[in-house]
Formats: sequence, structure tokens, C-alpha cells
Amino acid sequence: MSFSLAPTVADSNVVSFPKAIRWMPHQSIPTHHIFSIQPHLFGEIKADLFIFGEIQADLFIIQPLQVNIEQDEDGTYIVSDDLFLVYGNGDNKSDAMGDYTISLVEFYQLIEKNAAVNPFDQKLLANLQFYIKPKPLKGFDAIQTDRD
Amino acid sequence: MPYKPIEIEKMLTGKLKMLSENADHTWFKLELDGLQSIRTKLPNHKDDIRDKLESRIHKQLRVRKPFFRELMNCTKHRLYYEIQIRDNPYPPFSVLIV
Repeated sequence: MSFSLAPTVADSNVVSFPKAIRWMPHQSIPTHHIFSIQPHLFGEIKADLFIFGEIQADLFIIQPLQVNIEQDEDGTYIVSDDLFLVYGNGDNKSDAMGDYTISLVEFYQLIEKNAAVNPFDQKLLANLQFYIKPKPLKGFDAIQTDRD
Repeated sequence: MPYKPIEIEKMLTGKLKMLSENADHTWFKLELDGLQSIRTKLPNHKDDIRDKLESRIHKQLRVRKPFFRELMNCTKHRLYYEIQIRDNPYPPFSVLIV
């Protein structure tokens, strides 16, 4: 699988996430973790907000996904991504982010369901699964058990 | 003039013949031969849809704002939409290449 036109997410992940926000296999996954990165860290790469971690009980964002937050003319907020074109909206940033994650989960589930009958949606699902996984990562259960 | 969600819904289901898929949000799906399915959703509120929110919707439909407005204002029909999506989708489907 190869990706193109996803330099902000794919390349930045490979290139240089600061240590503080790099996920390591022996660490538990932060819940719905959102962080921002200063653009100067990446030179030409425009970096805003990334989201990763748990978005639903059995669904994880395993590769940081870049999202944009904008304010509309009426003062409401919109959170969206440029890869899957999913958006969420709300009266404040938090509500918009919550709506975005619900929408992303719904989008994933709809594509997963349709992938069986549409080969193009199979490809889209494969791309989605580069960022989103339906089950805990290998070793995650063991980490949870150890902690318990 | 901003549109209401119900007006956009009428265009999606009436003109484009999109099928609704219910979840927390109502999604609309259009399947065209040889293309990835096209999906959009509408917000849960009934207020006017402002500029930036409208732009998210026409992006999901893979058309630019003027084309979307023509769909809404009845000057473009489903056939034109299908031709547009096949010839010049925006954003293109090839944003991600497997």
C-alpha cells in the first residue's frame, strides 16, 4: 500500500514527531488524545491538530489524523479532515470535536458495511484502516491486564 | 442566502436520488458504477447552513460551490452531476491511492 498527497500525516509521522507525543508499543494508548504541533517543527509542512487514540470502545485511531478547526459565520465550530472529508460541528470546539469523532465512527462503519459489495469502498476501507483499527492493538489487552 | 438542512436533504434525495442511511446523523449515499460511493451527512440542527459548513457538504459531494449552488437552485440535474463526478470530481477520488 502506498499513499500520496497525505504528506502532512504520513510524512510527519515518519519524520519527526517530538518524543513526548510519539506512541510506543509498551505504552497504553491515550484516550482520544488531541495535540497540536508547532509548524516550525516541520519546516514546510503545515501542521495543525492531530487526533489519535480511542474514539469508541472498540475503535482506535492508530495513526495521527490531521483535523482542521474553523469557526463559521454564526460562531459555531467545524472540525474536519481532508483525507476522508468527514466533518463535525458544534456550538464550541469541544462539541464540534465530539461530533467529528461520532461522524468518523459512523463513516467507518458505513464504509465497512458497503465494502463487501463495492470494490472501490474496499480500497477506501483499506485506507481508513491505515488510520483506524476496529480492535485493540496486539499487546494492548496484556497491558490492560497488567495494570489491573 | 443560506440553505436549511431540509432544503439540502430534498435536493439530495429528490434530485440526486441519494439513499438515506440512519445513524446518529443521517447520511446520504449515492452509488455510481465504477466509482467509490459518495456519502454526505447533514447536521442534526435545523438552523441555516453557513458558508463553511456548506463547503464541507459540497466537498463530500465532490463538487465545487458554484456547482452545488446550481444543484440547489435547480439549474443542474442529476445527469450533469454524474458527468461532473466522473469527469472532474473535486476533490478528486485519487487523493488516496492504494
